[in-house]
Amino acid sequence: MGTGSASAHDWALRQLLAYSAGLLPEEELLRLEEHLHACPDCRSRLAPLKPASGTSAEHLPASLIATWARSSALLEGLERELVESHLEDCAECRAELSFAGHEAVIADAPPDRPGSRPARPTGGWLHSLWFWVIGLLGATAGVAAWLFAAHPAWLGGTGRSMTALRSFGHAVPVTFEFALDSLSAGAVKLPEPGFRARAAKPIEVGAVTNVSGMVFVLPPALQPPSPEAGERRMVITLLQDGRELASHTGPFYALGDAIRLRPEGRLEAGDYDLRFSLDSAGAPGEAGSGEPPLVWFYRLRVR
Amino acid sequence: MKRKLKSLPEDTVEDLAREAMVTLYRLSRRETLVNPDALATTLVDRVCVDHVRRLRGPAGRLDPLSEKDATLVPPAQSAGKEAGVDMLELFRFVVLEHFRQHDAPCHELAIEFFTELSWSAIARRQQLRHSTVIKRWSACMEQVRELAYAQRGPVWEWARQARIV
Repeated sequence: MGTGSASAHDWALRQLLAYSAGLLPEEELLRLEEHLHACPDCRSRLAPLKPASGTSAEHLPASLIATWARSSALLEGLERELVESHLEDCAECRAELSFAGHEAVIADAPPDRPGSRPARPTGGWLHSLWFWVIGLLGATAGVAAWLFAAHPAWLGGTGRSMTALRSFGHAVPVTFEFALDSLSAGAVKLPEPGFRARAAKPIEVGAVTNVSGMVFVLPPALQPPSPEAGERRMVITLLQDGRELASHTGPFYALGDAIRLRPEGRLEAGDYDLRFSLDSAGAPGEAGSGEPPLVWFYRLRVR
Repeated sequence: MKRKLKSLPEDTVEDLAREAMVTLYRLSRRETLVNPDALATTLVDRVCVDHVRRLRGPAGRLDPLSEKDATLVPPAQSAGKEAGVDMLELFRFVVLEHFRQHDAPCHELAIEFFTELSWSAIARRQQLRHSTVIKRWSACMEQVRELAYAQRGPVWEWARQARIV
């Protein structure tokens, strides 16, 4: 084996597990399959990763069933939901759990597992950002309340919205995710906003569930044009009938091309307002100083 | 199992034996088992090979097929590590279940690939160009990659550690 083919083989060895999970990018898939065609050694390493004859990856892994009490407790978020919903539908898996001496109920997650971390886009800066944002959340609530109280006109709404906000000022489990790929499947492009005005026509966004949430591609006006502009603060708020459901405060630069809104369950059908409030230039992080913030509204219609 | 994998803790032997028995039970419910003893031996071998792979972690290399009676050597740093769920299998399950609920064409492709592990074979069977099938799968994969970045939990953690997304 020449040096070139040896390094190609070495490269292929490192890709086999990713390949077997179906997750190699397109170009690498083509390259690896070409290599596999000519390499019996790689094919022999891949062979044990095929499901045992007569079994299917469509059912709960036998290793999960065998260690159910311990392993199911580790499941979180979507993976937990998918296992749960599969169990509801699949009599075979329930029978196998019973055969292994387990009840078909997912064990409770241990609180605050060491080593677990929120899954966010990779990159050191973004990681630090999340810590920073969490630290700001407490302050945000106060600042937002002050902004709304001091400048009701910015809301573009009525006194009723204000009252509702004060009465219901608790966040329901909806999270915002940032710096996403704007090519995400099913993403909705937000139109260029009219300043400080409600969008007249609601944007149909379909059903919004925890699984994929709702990705919004931001228009140029909501994308930071320069690092300086990025120092400004953006408050994003989801409202229903003027009632604040969720809010997030962070630096403008963190928005990226697209954001995602992800409710913990399914977002109730109806109309919602998505509000973006950007601090004016020259007042980084200082609400109320200098010019008032720029505010955009989008009306979303959820099915 | 103890012959195949030396110095296994008792708890691990029990977990792995249970895993082999679950698979045997699963197969017995789908077809009549002609030679259950031989099948049980094959399954035990397989569970041991899988166990060593899991101990190597998501970035570990895969072993070539070994002789049936060969003793397997777990990685040194894994001593005392208990058996757990096979993250590759759980990852495949989660992907399939997600597609089953949300995207039927991707689900069909995923089933075929996870069974066969060859896009060229799938392309031949579907009478499509190799690059066409791979393109279709890449579009499906985009959804999974998005999930892997946005979700938390051991499956996605494993995927990120394996640097496969």
